[in-house]
Amino acid sequence: MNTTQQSRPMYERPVLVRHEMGLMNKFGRTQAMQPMTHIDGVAIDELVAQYGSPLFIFSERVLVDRIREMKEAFTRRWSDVRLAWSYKTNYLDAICRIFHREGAWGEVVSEFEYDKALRNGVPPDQIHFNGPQKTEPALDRALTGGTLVHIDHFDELALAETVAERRGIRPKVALRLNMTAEGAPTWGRFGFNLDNGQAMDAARRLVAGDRLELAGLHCHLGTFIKQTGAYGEAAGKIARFASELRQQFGVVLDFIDLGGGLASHNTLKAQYQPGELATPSFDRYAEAIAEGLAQLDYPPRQLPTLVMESGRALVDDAGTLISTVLANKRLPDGRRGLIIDAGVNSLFTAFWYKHDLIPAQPFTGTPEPTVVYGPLCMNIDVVRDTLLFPPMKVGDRLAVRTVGAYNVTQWMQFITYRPAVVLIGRNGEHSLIRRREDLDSVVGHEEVPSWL
Amino acid sequence: MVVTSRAELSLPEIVVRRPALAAVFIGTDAVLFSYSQLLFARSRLIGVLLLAATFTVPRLGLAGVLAVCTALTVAHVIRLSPDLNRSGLFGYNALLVGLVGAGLLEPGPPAMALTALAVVTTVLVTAAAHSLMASQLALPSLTLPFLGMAYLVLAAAPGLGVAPQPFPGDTAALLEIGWLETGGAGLWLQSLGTIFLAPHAITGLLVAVALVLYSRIAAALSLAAFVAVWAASVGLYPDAPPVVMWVLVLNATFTAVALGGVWFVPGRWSVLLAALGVALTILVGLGCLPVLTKLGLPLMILPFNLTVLGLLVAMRQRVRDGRPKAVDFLPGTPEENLSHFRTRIARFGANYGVRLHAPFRGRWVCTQGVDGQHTHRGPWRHAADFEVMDGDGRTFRGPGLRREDYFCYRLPVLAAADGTVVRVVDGIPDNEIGEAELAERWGNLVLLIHGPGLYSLVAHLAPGSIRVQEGQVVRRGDPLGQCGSSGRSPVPHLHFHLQATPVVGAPTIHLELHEVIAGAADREELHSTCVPVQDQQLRNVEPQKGIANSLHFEVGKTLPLRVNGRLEEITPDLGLLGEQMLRSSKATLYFDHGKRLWTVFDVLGSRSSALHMVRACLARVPFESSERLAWRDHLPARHVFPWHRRVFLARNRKGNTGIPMRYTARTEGKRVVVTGTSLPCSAAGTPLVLTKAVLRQGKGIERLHLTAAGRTLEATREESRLDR
Repeated sequence: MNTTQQSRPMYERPVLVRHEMGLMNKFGRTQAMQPMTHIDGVAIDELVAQYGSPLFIFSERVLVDRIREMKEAFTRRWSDVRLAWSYKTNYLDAICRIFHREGAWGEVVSEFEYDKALRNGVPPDQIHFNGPQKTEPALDRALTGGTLVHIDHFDELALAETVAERRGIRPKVALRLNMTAEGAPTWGRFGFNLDNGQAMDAARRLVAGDRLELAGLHCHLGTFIKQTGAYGEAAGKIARFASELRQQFGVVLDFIDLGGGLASHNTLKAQYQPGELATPSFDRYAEAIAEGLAQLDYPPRQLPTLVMESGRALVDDAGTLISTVLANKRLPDGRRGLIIDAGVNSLFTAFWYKHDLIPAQPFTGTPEPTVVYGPLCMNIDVVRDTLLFPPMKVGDRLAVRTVGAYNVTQWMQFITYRPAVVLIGRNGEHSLIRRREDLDSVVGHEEVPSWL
Repeated sequence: MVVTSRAELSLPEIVVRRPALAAVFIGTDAVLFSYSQLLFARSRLIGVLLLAATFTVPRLGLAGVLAVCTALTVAHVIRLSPDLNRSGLFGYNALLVGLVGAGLLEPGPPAMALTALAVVTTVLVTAAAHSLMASQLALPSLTLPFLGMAYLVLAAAPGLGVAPQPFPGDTAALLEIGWLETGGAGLWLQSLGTIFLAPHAITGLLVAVALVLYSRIAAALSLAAFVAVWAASVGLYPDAPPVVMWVLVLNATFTAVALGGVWFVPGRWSVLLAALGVALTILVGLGCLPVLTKLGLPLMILPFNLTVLGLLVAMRQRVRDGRPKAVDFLPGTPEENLSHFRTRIARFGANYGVRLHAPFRGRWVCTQGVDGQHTHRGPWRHAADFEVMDGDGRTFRGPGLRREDYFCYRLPVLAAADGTVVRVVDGIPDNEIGEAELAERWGNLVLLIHGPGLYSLVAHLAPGSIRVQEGQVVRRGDPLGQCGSSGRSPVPHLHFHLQATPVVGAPTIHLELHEVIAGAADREELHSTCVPVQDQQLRNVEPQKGIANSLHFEVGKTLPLRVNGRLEEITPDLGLLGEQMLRSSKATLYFDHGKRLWTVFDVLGSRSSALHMVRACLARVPFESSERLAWRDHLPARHVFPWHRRVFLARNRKGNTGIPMRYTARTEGKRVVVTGTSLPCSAAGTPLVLTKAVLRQGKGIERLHLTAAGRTLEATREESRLDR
């Protein structure tokens, strides 16, 4: 706030403050809120004036810092490390290209994402193809192009063999495994179960078929896993399984893929500590995984490449959503309601995170318990359920931090248009990376029958 | 004189349609090289000049040509190595024998018959001597075969009824240049002429011109040797007969050139060695003179042979090669030797024959370098400590009161190079933060031997983490243990140094790492040799398979490159010793395709070859691409500029190491693009040299661009023949 404003006392709305919230606890006290007026040196006002509100803003600096931090943490502990960018987390071309420029391969789970990766210049043999749905045409393209297909079920194994036989090729594939690991959910629906012997059956079947080359093992424990021990346990189980494969079939793997699911600095709704304190560093994850993989009984110079398919942990921190206050209201239970112009249609992750909201301009006044609603005429449109927030005026802006993952892929065109997305480069320039939708983007795909 | 046994490697290849024509070319080469070899050169022009010099006395000239042709024919007929024959090895010894026959024997049919026999025998003696000396002793045979045969002929001649003639005899030159026959210049030229038994100014002048053309350094050395001998003779041996002076000066001249620039890299120390050699030559000459006179034999070039061989053998006994540096590569003219050696130092700069990589994975920071402020002092000054730092410059998380808070703690520590474990110490507990164990100050350690007198030590490892045993053979990059905090180590860190003996606590020796990438995340530079300094962040090259295989050349699979409309077929080849080569009809390029780097060493052969573009565009490529990673290299001007521009450049550039270049690489889908920019710019501010290479994964070179001095050359792979 500048001095001319300070010289004239500002009107402050009187509020009633309940004293049970934000108390000191054993982890410290509620952090004093600082307004977020700039992102990487660029004024938020300037960006909103140019691109409108609401607005997703991505920071190239944070993207690059995160992927380098992750790569370095793993590289210090394993001889050969590969990161494969998880397309479903955020497949905006500009974002993907930043990661590919930093050396990441692609990890896709559909033919659409496969096309997106190819469009971003990723060679087909630098793509890991996951997911339970791979149609025959998709498998045909992937296997002939040298893409590493992670086989999810026996039917897919048979289909891949058919394709390989028809094409006269012997493509490299991986088996997707699932297992129990303490601290991670048991996702039994993807891949072959390691604990009950199904995975060994699949490997035996694959080796006996001799149409495909078993080049890798893959597992993905779940999502937002904060227990690094779960990764250690999974890595250990996979390492023992890989050693067994080498002993039984002489299979020497090219890679072991531990998937993603690493937590970002967000805070889940059920989580007590804020993400910034609770989320383990990449170092911790890498340590656990390297420790698990140390159980691999392989000659030292034939160690497989360690593949990580992190999405959220790389991109979440880099995204911010700027939204404008539409109205204030007092709710019957005494809390303040704040209506903003971005709802759960744009901010899909509001369903499972306690998002970090901060005013985007200097503010005064005492924070009070506030519910933040989106603009939709739907009861579910709640961006944040009760947080301590300072008073805001209509037209003020607030920033929702750590929204880079899953929002710009899972957002819905529902009731309103999807907002624009902007990238701030490391050079301080900013540029639109996805235009705000308009009527044409919605009706462009519609047809009106002739009789209407 | 043939300089090494590998001389045949650098012979230009001759491509003509008709085999008969090729034979003529090769024959001409062999004759001319036989002459030019006398000045250590392999050049047709110098051959022509020296041939002309012999013809200043027509009788000698004719005898010489006859002898050379006879020798070459004999060598060809009895099937001695065609390459050695073409290099002039058999020719030059026979040439000198022929000259001796014509100049020092009473002319007549018996003398001719004797000479002919001697010439034929010389070929066999040369072949035997070359095999013995080059292959067994790695020494040049110089003119020893000639000397042996000449002494034999001269000693046997009287018995066969052929009277030896005194030197110089009646070898009148075609053209006498009276004013050049007197004074110091006259003495020098006459001495040079004496090599062909023609002590005339005109002969010497032609030899001198050839010498200057061959090498300015050699000409200067020769002149200096002459002045030294002449000045010494004026004071010490004023009444020396001119014949003795000519022979002594000739020997001194050759010794000075051989030691000052041919077998040693030209420099201050080689000049000192040459001065010693000159003095020794004179001593040997004066010492042998009475003995030989008593035997009725001339001194000829004996002192040079004895002195140079003696000093070569003596200098090889040194523990470390340097002062002067011996030419341990394929030798050329003194200028080329100097340029090659300086370029090698600038490009590789390594003190050790073993390539040492960083003993850790990923990026670490040096927290104490050589002559560090804490413990790297005195006998242990050549050492480096490493830790891991986060983006904020901290080496630990939280308050850093526990070992586990330090980012480097328990990270793997690797073998810096292939070697054998000679010592393992384990079982010393890790210290609490701030504590230090002084009795066992190195803590848990692994000591490796990489080669004679080269040991590397990693110390302060975590107890129980060491995974190798004494006597175990390890390869570069194998894990040895984990970083800990044992011994004199108040915080977890890795200590690394080199030493010359297997004793723990021995004094350290010069520390360097090779092929490491230094710098922070946004600006990284690949160093071929790097002495870690404090706060420097270092990591090894992390090879990407795509880039490595974009530079993979399958042996025998031809790469057709079209440059300015001309097609040059380049074929990858492997040498007997495992040298990796790219050969074309014009030149040969030597390279190394290692685990982490591609390096071009040198290109030999025609300057018009596209392989010089490969050298310029792809001098060195780490198998890792990112826009933040750059590296420097030096490009000898001969690869990119025509000779007149090179003269200009050489004058402008101190050190003669070539043009400093900066390279970067980026990946575009399946393509790798390597671009280079010269650091010096023209007056207008544009770089002198710009290079760009486009490689395709699994396919190799697609396009090369080279812009130098405003001229752009483009080489393109012939697509139609891509997959044949």
